[in-house]
This record gives sequence, C-alpha cells and structure tokens, in this order.
Amino acid sequence: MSEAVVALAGNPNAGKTTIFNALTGARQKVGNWPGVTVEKKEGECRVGELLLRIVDLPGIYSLTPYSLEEVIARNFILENRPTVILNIVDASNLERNLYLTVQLMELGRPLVVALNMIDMAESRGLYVDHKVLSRLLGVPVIPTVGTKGLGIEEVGETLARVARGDLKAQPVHIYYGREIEEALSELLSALEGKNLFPGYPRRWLALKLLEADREVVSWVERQPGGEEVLALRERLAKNFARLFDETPEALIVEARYGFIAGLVREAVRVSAISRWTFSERLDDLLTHRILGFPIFIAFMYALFYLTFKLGAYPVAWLEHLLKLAEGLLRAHLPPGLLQEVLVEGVLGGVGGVLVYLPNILFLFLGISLFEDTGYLARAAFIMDRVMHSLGLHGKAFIPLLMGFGCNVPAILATRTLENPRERLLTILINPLMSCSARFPVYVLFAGTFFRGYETQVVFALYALGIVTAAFIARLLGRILVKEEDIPFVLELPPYRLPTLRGLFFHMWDKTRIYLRKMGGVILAASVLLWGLTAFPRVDHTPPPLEQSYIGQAGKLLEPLLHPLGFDWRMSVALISGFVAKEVVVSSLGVLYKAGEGAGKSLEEALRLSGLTPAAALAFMVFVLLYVPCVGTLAAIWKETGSLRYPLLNVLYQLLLAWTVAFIAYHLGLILLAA
Amino acid sequence: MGFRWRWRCRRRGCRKGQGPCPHRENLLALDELHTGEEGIIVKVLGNGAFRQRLLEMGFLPGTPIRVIRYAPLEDPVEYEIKGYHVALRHEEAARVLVEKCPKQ
Repeated sequence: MSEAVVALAGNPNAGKTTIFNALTGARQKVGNWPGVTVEKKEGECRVGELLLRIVDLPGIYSLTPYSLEEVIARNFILENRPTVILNIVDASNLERNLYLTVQLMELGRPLVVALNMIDMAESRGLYVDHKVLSRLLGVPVIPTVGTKGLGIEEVGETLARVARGDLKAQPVHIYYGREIEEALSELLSALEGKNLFPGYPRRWLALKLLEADREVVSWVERQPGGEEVLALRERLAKNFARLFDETPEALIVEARYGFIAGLVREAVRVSAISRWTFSERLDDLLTHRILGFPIFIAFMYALFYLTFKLGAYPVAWLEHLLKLAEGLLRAHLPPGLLQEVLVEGVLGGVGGVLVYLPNILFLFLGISLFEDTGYLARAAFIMDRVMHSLGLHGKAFIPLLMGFGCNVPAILATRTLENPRERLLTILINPLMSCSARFPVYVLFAGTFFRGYETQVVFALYALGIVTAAFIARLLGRILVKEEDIPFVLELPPYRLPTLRGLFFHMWDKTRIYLRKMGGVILAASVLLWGLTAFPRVDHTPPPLEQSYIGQAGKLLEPLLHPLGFDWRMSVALISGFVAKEVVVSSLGVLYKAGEGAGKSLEEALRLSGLTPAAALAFMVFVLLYVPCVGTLAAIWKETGSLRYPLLNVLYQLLLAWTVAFIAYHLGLILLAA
Repeated sequence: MGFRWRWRCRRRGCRKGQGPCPHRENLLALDELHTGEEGIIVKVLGNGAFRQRLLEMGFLPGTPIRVIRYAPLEDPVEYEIKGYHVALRHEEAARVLVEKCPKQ
C-alpha cells in the first residue's frame, strides 16, 4: 500500500482541528516538532489503497515568520515537501483566510482548499461559488461543514486523487503588478547565476528576498555570493521607496490582497446582510462595560463549583472500587513483598490519584467549553487591560487559564504569544496557576479540616495563586529585557455552538496528557516512594516509618518547615511532590495510614494525627506556591532554552511558598482560634 | 469614549474635530474613533514586524473599519475589518491613520 503526506494548514478558528479529527478519527499520534516543543499532531486516513498521513500544522495567519508556529509550518512544507497541502479556509471570513492560501500557493506545492463553515457563511448572507474559486486559484476547492461532517469524504477522495496524480492541483502564479514582477525577475536572474538553494522554489525565494524575510535574508547572507544578491535587493527597495514611498513588503501585501479582492468579487455573492447579529447581541451582554466582569467572574466560579460538586459523585464510586480491589488483592495474594508493592505502592499511589480524575475531567470539560464556544477570546478581550498592566498580553490569559488544568500544556500554549518577553514572563508565572494536580491536595485538606466551606477555601487558594502571579509578574517584568515592537492583535471569532464530538476530542486531548503523565511518572514515583518507606529492611519486614529512608529525609527537613506547623510526614510528602504534585496526596496516604491511622481513611487518619486547621491551611498554601513538578520544570527548560529559568522558578517559588505559608499559618492560628 | 476620551483629548491640547493633520479635516488616529463610528484606513505608521503584521491582517489603505465596542476597562477596542472582528490596544490603534466617515 502506498503512502502520501498531507500537510494541514489554516488560520486559527478556521475549524482545522474539527476537520483533522473528522478525517483521522481516533487514529492520531501526538508528539513534538523536532527541536521545539510545539505540539505536532499526526493522523492517518485511508482512501482505497492509499494511506494519507495527515500532519496538522500549527494554526497561523500568515507565513511571514514572526512567530515560531509560522516558522514551523513554513519549514515543514519547504523541507519535507508534503505530497499535498490541505488548506482549511473559513468561508465566513474569506478575505483574511485567503491571505494564507495565497502564501501557500507561492510555496509551489500541490494544494487542496477545504472551504469550511459554508453553513455559517450562508447564514450571514455570503454565498461562495467554489467552482469559480477553484478555477481562479487553479486548485480543487471543496465546500465542507466540519462540525457536521459534510464534505469530509470528498476532501479525502480529492486528496487521494491529487496524491495519485489523477487530479491537477498546481496553484496558479499570482501576478503582483509590473514593478514587482520586474524586480522579481531581476532577483531571479541574480539567484540563477549563483545557484543558491537548488531545492527551493525560485520564485518564492526571490519574493521572500524582496519582502526582506528575516529567515531567507539570513540564509542568503551566509551563502557565497550572497552579498551581491542582497545589494541588488537593497537597490530595488530604494527604487520602490522613491517610486511609491512604500516598502516592497507592504506593496506585496497589497498586491496579494488585491488578488484576493478580485477572487472575492468573482466568487462571492452577498445577499441581504444579516451578519453576526446573534453573536453581536451576545457580546453586548458578555463584554458589557459593567456586566462583563461580573459575568466573567461568575463563569469562573461556576466552573470550579461544578467541578467540585458534580465531580464528588464519581469520586465516591471510584473510591469504593479501589477499596474492593484492595480487598481482592489482600485476599488472593500471599503476604510478602509482592503484596506490599501492589497494595501499598501501586494501588495506594496511582489509585489515590485516579479517584480525582472525575474532578479533573470536569475542569477540562469547562475549559474546553470556553475554548470551543469562543468565550475564551472574549475573556482575553476583557482581561487584556489587567494583563497589560502586568506587562502581559491579553492572550497570556489563555495559557494562564490552561495552567489551572496542567502547567505543562499551558507552558506549551504560550507559543501563541509572539513577543518573547511577554512569553517568558507568562512561562515563569505559570506554575503559580494552581494546576489540577494540586487540586486533590485541596480537596483532601479542605474536606477534612474545612468541611462545609470547601468551595470557598479552594476558591480562595486559586485567587491567592493569581494574586501572587500578578505580583511576581510586575517584579520580574522590571528585571527582564524591554519588549519588541509586535502588535497586540486578538481575533474575536463569532460565538459557535460547540459539538459534543468536538468537546469530547478537546477534553480527551488534554486529559490524555494528564493520564500519560500519571501512568509513567507517577507510578514510578509511587513505587519509589513506597520503596523509600519500606527500606532499609529490619529482619525482612518493613521498618517503622521513622527509621525508613524517607522518614530520615523528612526529619532532616523538619526544622525548616516546623515554623509553618508541618510535621515530618508533611515534609516527606512535599519532597515527593517534586516528582509530580499528584504524588503529594498518595504519599500522605502511604505515610498517615501506615502508623496509628492503619485501616482508616486518609481523612480520618489526618484528623487523628493532631494536625491543626491552621497547619492544613499553610500546607495548602505551600503546595500551591512551592517548586513546580519535574514535568513543568522540563517544559520551562525546553521552552526557554536555558537552565537559568527553571532554576529561577525553583528558587523564587520556594522563597515565596515559605513566606506566604508562614503568614497563613500564623494568621490561621489567630483567626481560627477566635 | 466618555470621560477617558475627553481627558486624553485635553491632555493633547487639541480642539474638537482637529486631527493630527491640519489639512485633512477628518484625518484621525484609529483610537480616536468612538463606538459605532466608521473610518477608512489611510496609512499604517511604524515599521518592521508591527506594520507587516497589521497589513497582513488586512489593515490596508482604503479599507473601511468600524468601531464595535470598547472593552469594559476601555482598552482594547474591538473593530470590524474585512468582515471579521479584531481587538487592538489604544497604543497600536494610535499608529493607524483613518479618515472618519461622516455620520449617516
């Protein structure tokens, strides 16, 4: 069976993910782009005898390499030379979407256009004639409605036909106007003489040179004979400045939009203007000057309230199930090391995390709902003024909100920020966003010591994380280098009704990362932790906990953490939390259930241990603020490209956690006693 | 927009209806348009990445642009251009020159 590679490209909000999911179904593979940590999704789609390997490129507005995503998308097409490019175009926002199409056409690869969301376009009174568009572009254009699965089969078949060579999909050359074309042919002949970059499309190279494309110019600079070409480029640019009082790059953008205007004139029929109305009326309310903020806060509060209350039911079922499994293992396995490992190490560890999975699923469901409806962009719109005062982009709100799920994908999500300074700042404060892994700790301690006030306590903790993040952002913002000149551009797509399928995929995508982390790192950490509690052996039986390796380590740290009201077991749990925050609860389980609390639930064991509510509060605060987990640190390291930043995170967060927990403990002692 | 807009205007020491260019009556910076007002883009000032990005998003000379709304905290501002909605901050919008369309 033969194979073909399809690159999937399109604007953000054009429905790229929906079409990708519809084409590939569950056959997806998530990884990273080589060298960088932008998520790379690959899927397979079988059409007859042909296997299409579909590579999802990052969502981008243009191929001018100002952000990492744009560089990745462009280099993939240039270097891997996919058999076909599938370009998803939002029919209800045709002009701006076609800008990317035009740039893709310039790359000279076979192209298929999926004209997505035609239902939306028609409801706004825009009728796009795909046949005319196809004729003018020289490539197949297929109308689709990704959310309803319309046209997806035809897209697959067209891709297969193009890949087999049965269908021509070679885009037309765009005419940029006499002056630009003359300059291009001059550059072309200069390039031809030098024989630079034999593998790249010539016309594209000339065009990029004229556009003063950062990447291409620096490539050419490094080639022998490159200076001559660049000198010619300078001369041409001066000429344009004299003739038009404008840079060549601006003229080329205008020429592209001119071409697009021609396309739209020919292919689009506008009927009665009924555009946006519902979405705009909704925005009148949701981004209202006075009501906008209360609604926003209400949404956030509702998200956590539902996570907490609705999540409680499946949690109870899972807890019951785990008890059953524990009983079964104890009954059917001979007592000894194997039973100990399985029951205390594996069940105690991973099981302790698994019971909070429903909470986390609900949280991700909520976040996906905000994302898929388009409310997340409004949240960025509302929040930008606040974020801007912290030296951040309104879009930085999105990775920060994602941080409530898991800091690792959240740090990856900062790639949507084009400004490196804002991006770095967003990464550095991201661990202060209370991720879902810390949530079980709050559930446990709030449920044990603040029964009846769980929601309020947890909400206050999340708020504390946000406030400290704001404080740190201001502080670090002064230290970090000054910002570059990149504009704030935030698209506000119309509100959309999310589909169940889309929500499921979105939620599953995020949960999968959490699950994978849990499966590997946490299992290993739990078994390791159990090993540290069960060794050194005393007469082939586990030692009393105080003499185990971990007890010794905890005792060593106790004087440091004593002023916060923590005992040695809590310091042990904190050490283990460095591996992954989920482990804090499971190690507390192992530690507290081991001694006098044997056979009791963790809540009872904690209550019996003589812990005060003030210390519980300080512990929750400490868990919120102290060192990020290993996964997050690795993400920070990879994303910033320097070990300095993860180190900075460890140091400042430890300092912060200790100080704030100290204050919380002493305030708690005073207030809770009263 | 309301109080803040008047304050900005006084600080600059300009009189009502007087734009940055004395020769063209209706020439304004984009951030000086009020909610619901419409303008035609004349030029995007600035250079480099900033200018290129705005041009690529469709902020070309001759393109109509309409103010949809100000964010609850006045900044950023939502605009409609080329059939889609986009938000810009005041500092960015100030670098886009527009010719204000007369009220219909």
